[in-house]
Amino acid sequence: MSAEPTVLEARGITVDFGGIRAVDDVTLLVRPGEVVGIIGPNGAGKTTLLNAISGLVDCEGEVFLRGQEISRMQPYRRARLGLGRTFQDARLYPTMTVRDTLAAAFHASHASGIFSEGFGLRSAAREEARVRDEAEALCEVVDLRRYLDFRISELSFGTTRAVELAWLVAQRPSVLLLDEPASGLQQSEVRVLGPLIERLRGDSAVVVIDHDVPFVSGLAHRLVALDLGAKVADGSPTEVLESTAVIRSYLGTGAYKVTT
Amino acid sequence: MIWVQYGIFGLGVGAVFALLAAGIVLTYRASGVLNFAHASTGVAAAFVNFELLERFPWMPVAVALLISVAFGALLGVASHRFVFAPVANSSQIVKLLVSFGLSGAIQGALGVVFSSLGNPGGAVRGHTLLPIERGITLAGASVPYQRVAVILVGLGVALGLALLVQRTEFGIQLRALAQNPVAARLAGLDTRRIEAITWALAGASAAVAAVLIVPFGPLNPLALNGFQLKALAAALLGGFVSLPAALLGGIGLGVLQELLLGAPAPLNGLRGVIAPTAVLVLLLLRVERFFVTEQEARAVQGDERLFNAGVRRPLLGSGKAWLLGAAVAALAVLPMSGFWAFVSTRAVLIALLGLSVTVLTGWTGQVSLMPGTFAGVGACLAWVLDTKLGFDFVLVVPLAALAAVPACAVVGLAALRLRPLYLAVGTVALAGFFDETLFRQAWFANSGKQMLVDRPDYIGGDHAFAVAVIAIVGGVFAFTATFGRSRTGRALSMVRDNPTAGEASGVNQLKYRLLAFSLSAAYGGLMGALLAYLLGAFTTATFSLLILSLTAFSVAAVGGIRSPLGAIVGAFLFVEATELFRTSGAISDWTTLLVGVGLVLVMSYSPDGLVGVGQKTVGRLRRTNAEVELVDVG
Repeated sequence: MSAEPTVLEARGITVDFGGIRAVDDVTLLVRPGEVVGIIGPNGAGKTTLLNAISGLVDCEGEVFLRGQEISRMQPYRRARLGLGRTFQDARLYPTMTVRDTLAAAFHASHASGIFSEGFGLRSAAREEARVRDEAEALCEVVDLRRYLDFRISELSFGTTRAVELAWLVAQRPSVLLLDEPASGLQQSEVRVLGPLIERLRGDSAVVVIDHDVPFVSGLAHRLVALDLGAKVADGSPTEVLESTAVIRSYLGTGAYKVTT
Repeated sequence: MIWVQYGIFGLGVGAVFALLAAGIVLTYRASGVLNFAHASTGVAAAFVNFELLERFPWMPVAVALLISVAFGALLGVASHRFVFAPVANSSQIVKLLVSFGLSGAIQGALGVVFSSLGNPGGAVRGHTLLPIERGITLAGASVPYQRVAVILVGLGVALGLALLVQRTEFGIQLRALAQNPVAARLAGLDTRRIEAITWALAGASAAVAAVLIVPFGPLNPLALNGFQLKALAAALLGGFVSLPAALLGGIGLGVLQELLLGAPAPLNGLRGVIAPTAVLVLLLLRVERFFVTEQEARAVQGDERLFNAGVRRPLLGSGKAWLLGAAVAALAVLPMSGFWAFVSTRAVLIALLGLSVTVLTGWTGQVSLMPGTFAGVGACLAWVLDTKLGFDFVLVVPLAALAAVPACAVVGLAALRLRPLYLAVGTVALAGFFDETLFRQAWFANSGKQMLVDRPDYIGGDHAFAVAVIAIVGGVFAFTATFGRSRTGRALSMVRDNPTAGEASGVNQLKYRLLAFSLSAAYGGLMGALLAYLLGAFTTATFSLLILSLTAFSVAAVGGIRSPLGAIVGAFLFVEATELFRTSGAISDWTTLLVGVGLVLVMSYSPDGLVGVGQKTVGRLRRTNAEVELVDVG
């Protein structure tokens, strides 16, 4: 047990997929403002761990966000308490425009309902105007103004990633879970991605997983290495990258553990 | 020996269910099309058979059978080539809606052609292959030769199809195509040929089934609509992909259904509800997972052209604009004749039903084929509350709208567990369930007989009633457009586009799915109640058998499924077209044909419908003007 305060605490996370143990008793502690990178080969359970934390897959173990237990909550409730995340495929909302997608990020922070909107109450109209302004302001920050009225499906993958990051920080989460933000990007795009994340996150903590080890270790204060669902190393980037367990896992030996 | 008799009867219809189910499975595997028009294809062939034997009495029945089976095969190939091939890369839902439209088009065309050939009403009997009066005696039960033929030929052909898929080179190719079309093509398979052959086989087998069974009942374009749902239920037993399971399902369903005929009083009433119940149970058990792997399921998914092939932002209109429009419409009605005021009111009500499709399907991406059913619930409630209980219009209308909501909550909850295609099938079954149960009750639907609902005195006249309806519906459109532009509208789109990302940003997808279903049910209930007052006299037949649902879908899609204005445009086109054909006699056939063709065309060529086309044109004009200005400056 660490005595330091944590913003995110996942203890003893275990996920089984029909006989295959995808995540095996992993504990992950994230301090406020910390950037934690998770590395590991394909099938190590990185994405599954994030999905378990955000409630998209069932798991054993406990998750605390700023001291509050969220293990049994629906994903949308966890999001409202400040757990934000991006996705590997960065699909976002293919048919919505960038403007609407960014406005959609403010869903949880506003309260107007169907009746106040439908009957045209002034409060709802004011709130809507504010959301629109905030969405446009956000677009300036990531330099996407000229794409405001494009559909997400019309954007390049790199641009979609940028929209997704803006969409994520608009939710003002206290923890950002980034699932392979660099995958599918060109090298030149990856180079600007790190500083962009650093600039956008403000004082939020970040958990980032990626295959691109130089990218992750450049961004993270601390690295966690997973292999075959279990944690094999946890420490500063240099420590972890030099540990024999990590080197062995990347060279690839061993087989999937099969539970009975 | 009555049980043997019923059992043999059951084997007969069961053979037909099995044969139709086999055809449905074939085209689903080859092209990802869950074909609602399958039975209609067979009926078309049965009509050809009838006309041949009627016109050329010298023709041997075997020759007529061959020609009509060839016609069925041709119709199968043609529907693939001209109707389903254009949407080959689209999602199963789009294909399902297209087949829904095709079924309407075929049935409407049959009605039009048949009545123009001098058979008004279309209630004749098909010719039998073998004598129907004489037969063999089996364990004390007499079985007409025709029924023997149904059992033997039906089962024989169905088994033959199953063997073809399981045991032959062609079957292996078909399975490869079903699991991974791209890889099959890269591996050198002529996938177009395989698909064409499959559709020919499906069409031919539908023709055999129809020609065999049609002589046992009246021959009309809707003759096999009941068989369609039962064949779907049978095919669902095998997840729409397993032929042996589909055959077993068909025979089992047929035998069970006919045995119930002989069951004691409360049980024999269940006969009509077995098929819908079977579908719902199989869906909730998610039986498809035993037959379809995740990989296969992904292989048949395609783009949602309904939502992403059209304009960037659908035209919603502001609340004020809608209220202003309603005021103008109310003024425009006043100088009309009573007849046209009536017709316009009907158009406005159909637009309201179209709006329920806009919210549920266009915005939330959920396909429910029961808007007509909800309207039926509303209409019946108007009869119960007003005529029987004596409530006033002012109370009846909102109550009817609200009461339709709980009826849909079940569907909304099922929607969370089911893939879109299975949800759509489930709603078809549920619509059938309502038809057979609630819509036949004495207390709720006057046992299916005529119901009378009088308008209150203060809006008794056609003009006054039109103004009242325009005010109410205008309000609903203003309400809908306004929340559609706000937080709620965005949340619905998020649930449609990417529910996982929506949840990750704090959207409770359960809440918004249920909200969309509740809204569509409330709009449907409201429409039904107002329609009851407009018509004054109606039966539940107006709302049953998916006809009104097909109309609502077609109207919303032709106008533009994501835009409320689309529902208005579609509804007025529909009603005007209906009036054009009123004099021709075959009015309902023409309208079915039109809504069917409209649905097919829009899905294939203009996903955002007429409003989308208008928006694009205006956009292009504006851009051109802007370019001209730039040139001037330069």
